[in-house]
Amino acid sequence: MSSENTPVKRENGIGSEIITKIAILAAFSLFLSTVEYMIPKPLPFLRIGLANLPIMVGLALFSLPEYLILVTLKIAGQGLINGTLFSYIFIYSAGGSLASSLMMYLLYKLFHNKISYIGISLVGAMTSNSVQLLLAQYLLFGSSIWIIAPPFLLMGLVSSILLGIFVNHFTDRSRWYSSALEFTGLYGKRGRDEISHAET
Amino acid sequence: MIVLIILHTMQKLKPLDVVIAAVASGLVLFLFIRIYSTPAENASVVIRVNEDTWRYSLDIDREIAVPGPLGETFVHIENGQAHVEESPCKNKFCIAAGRINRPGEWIVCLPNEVFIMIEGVMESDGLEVDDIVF
Repeated sequence: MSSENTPVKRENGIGSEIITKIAILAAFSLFLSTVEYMIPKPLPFLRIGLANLPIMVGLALFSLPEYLILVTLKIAGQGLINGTLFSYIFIYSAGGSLASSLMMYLLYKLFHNKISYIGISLVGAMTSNSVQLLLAQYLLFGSSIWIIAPPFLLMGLVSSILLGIFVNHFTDRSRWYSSALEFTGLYGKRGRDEISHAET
Repeated sequence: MIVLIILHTMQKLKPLDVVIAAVASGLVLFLFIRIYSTPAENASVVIRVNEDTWRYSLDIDREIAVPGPLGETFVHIENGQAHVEESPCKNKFCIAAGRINRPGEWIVCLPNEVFIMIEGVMESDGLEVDDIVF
């Protein structure tokens, strides 16, 4: 109970800080799913992936379990908005989102000095799209699904670069983000661990 | 504004970004070429009427009489192309659809319930789906 080196207000606690951040990003993701749903598209499965913005923003802020909570909330929120939560389409969206977010997390943890959000976003989009194509092939359509693969992947390529540019900007400029990052500590869990050690 | 964004993006760009972007674009380009300009050598013509499906090679010239509810639709395969030569339907859209030879192309005759499609992208020369995905 050493009180002299606890940097944050006691009554707030660490759990609630993290929960607040997850909740803000999840709510943001829900909102962006709605925006995405409103944008007219030539084919329903051509996605821009706006709802993945908060997922990428969360990469530096959370530990893996916390990050997975955010991803789960994003998948559920997207299913809710699109009305696909209890249909077979949900399998595609869940599979794609899960695979891509894990891939992005891995990439961020391994190479965050050598990669910006553009690269992370690109890998995320490509992973998500290929997982969805593979699921579509084995679950429903057979190999004829690959006829639509090139434009599908091209769309992912272009939109993910744009999203990456946006996240690069956002993480540079946002005050909310920089304060959140300060609390978390630049290298993921470290800052938080120090705080929780101080508390016990 | 746009110039600023571009400048900032260039500053933030890291080596791995460029590598990933190059690999991803190459992959997509490869897929475009691979899937949309496959030579028709191994493609086959799939003809479907209700529950029945027939499959013919696109390489061998032949004339096929496909039985539908209105009568027989005559499909010709010649020089690696398929087209509907004659159909008992009223509007003859299937004949007007012309010749098809690339995987994914199709002709349909709704009145006579005949569906003709070129298949065989992924199966051609031993290329497996997983070969081209990561």
